[in-house]
Amino acid sequence: MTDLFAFGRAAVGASDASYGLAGDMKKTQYVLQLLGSPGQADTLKCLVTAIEMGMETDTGVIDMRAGQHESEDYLTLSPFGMVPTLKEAEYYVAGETGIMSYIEARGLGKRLPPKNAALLAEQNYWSDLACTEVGPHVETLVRERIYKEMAGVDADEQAVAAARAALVAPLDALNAQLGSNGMFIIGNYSFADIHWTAYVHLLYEAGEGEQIDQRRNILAWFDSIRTHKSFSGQNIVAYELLPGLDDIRHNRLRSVEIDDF
Amino acid sequence: MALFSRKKKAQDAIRLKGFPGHLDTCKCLYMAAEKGIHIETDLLDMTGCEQDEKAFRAVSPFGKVPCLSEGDLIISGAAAILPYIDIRGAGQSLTPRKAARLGEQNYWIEVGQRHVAPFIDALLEEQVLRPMCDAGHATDETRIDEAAGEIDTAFSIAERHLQGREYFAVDYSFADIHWAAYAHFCDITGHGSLVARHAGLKQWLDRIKARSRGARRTYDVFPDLGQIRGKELRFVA
Repeated sequence: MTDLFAFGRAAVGASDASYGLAGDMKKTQYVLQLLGSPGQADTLKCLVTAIEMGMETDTGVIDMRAGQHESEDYLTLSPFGMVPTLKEAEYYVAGETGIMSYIEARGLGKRLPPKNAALLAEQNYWSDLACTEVGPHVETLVRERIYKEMAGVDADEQAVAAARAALVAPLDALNAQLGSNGMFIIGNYSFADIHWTAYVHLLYEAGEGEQIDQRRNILAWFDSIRTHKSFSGQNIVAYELLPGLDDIRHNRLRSVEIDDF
Repeated sequence: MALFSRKKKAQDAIRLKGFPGHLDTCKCLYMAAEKGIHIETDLLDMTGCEQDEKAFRAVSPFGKVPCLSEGDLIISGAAAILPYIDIRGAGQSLTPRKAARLGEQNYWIEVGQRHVAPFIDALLEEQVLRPMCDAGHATDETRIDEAAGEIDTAFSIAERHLQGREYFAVDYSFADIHWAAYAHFCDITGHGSLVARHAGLKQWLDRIKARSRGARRTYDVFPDLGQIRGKELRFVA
């Protein structure tokens, strides 16, 4: 059995092997380990959350195109094959929802989710909309425009056209929301911005930036995301660590190192 | 009224528009029962595709069901409605405070949404909803068997997780709200054995069924097959 988490600073790990097993994590800064894929939106969301919450994170790559997420080694960590997977000491969690909320709760500074019930609902509505109405189509465009080109296979232009068409309504809705709600999606920075950041970034990397460029409010929002300093106050910009096209092609993920606690 | 306009009056009733044979509608009703929130219900006939009609799209532009309103506030989709009810309701929030438990809760919610809910929907469609629209509907037994197989795989993994635990995230949480709905719909579609064959999952469901608020079992808020076929969306609390 191969230990897929044998990488980075955390591989040397905590001295107490039972640490974390009972869920009694301390606020001590342990380095997180994230195993994900650079062309996968869920991995990017977790990475952005780690940066926004000031959590040092070493990254490892799981090669989803080679089916590594279906290997016995990976299924031992994530029985449903959900990617990414996160490890802190002896605590493991998989999938975007579990990882993002875990990192957020472990993070530094104030909490990201709004306390007000209506605002919390609004954050979740826009997050849900991104995942259900945008995510599948961005995945199609990444596959057709990036992965197929890497494999030397022609893109299925019908699939590309269908994905573009399906993105019109949710992108228009976001554009309208941003027009009425200021700099961020629900007013203040929230999980909703993290979800949409991942999808909009991948649209650009897949050569579909025109979808964004023609919507003025999303463009202005994304400009502020590109320079948004860590939510927890560190001098680090999440967007700068997101994998570019070259990183996706070469299966590279950058780690999060923070030096101004 | 507009989506997420924020004016509401304290005395406004909370109304939920949904369908009794719809997982997310039932999760919201169950959450309301757990949190002691009284809900007025309005039927959205999904067998007649009312979720695609212009009137519903005016309040839920992407057709997300159910839809909750309180005064001028409108919220659509279980992802948004469940935490709203949780915060508006009685007692402490169901969201775990410890990071590890929160991660666990949300992991099991995502597992349920990805690896259980689509197959429960398949069972409902084949065995309940399509026959309601077409009395001559020929049930696709292969689809049913495949769906039951996928659910069993997910339940087997959940069974291992529940060893030594009372609930999915140790304490009762949002994850249990989601999984209670899955267990209930297995039961009423004649697939209760998918739960019963796993001792830990069965014990968990027994604990869920024993929960009460006031004199009523909260689990009783889930509709039975007769209510679904009769298109009766009721909330009794």
